[in-house]
Amino acid sequence: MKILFFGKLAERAGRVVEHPVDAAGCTIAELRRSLAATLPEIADTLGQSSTRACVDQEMVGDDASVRPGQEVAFLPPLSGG
Amino acid sequence: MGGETRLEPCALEPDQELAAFIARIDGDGAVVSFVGLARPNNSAGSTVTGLHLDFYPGMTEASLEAIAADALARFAVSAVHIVHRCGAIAPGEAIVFAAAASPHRRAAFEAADYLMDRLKTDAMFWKREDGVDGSRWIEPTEADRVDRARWSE
Repeated sequence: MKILFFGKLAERAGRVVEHPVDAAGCTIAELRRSLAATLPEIADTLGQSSTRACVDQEMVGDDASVRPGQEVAFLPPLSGG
Repeated sequence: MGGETRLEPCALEPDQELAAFIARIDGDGAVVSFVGLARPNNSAGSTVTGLHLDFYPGMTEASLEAIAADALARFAVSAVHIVHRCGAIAPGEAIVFAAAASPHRRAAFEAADYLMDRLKTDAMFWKREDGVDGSRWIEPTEADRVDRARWSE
């Protein structure tokens, strides 16, 4: 599945990463762990609760489930203005 | 009237934004506007050579619209206007323009203050500061969170 990164996550891992996910899907928490295992350069940031997840452009919690084909993004803390 | 927001990849001209905002309001007696500029120094005092604002297409625009809608719902303002830069920004350039219009001044002052506190913490941007000492990603400070919390019910 396609995973999008922004901010410092994108700087370290690239904007888009293709990551294998079981056809039955997984939770965001599981996805954080499997991404951290394959992308050690962002493991610390992915593990922080301040790094939030989006599925199909909606903010979701760690227990949300995702399936292949959905757009998943991980967002570090925001800094606008 | 109402809320207007724009994600701006090119130069932001505050005087033109203010003129356009004043031209679209109708019958209000007060306009308050704020312009945020890229500082030439960071919090440690070293020289900043530029900023880069990363954004999430679709979600970033939606975050600006939500902040504008919340301000309209919360204060007795008839119109708000937000323009936020993205991409590369040089020191001294405008990053953000926020304005509010109301029949009387107090609501416009409060709404502009609210817009900026929300933009600092809830607008979907990631700001990298490039300087002579290297680059770093900026995160909301404790002061930003305290400012944001002033508006919590």
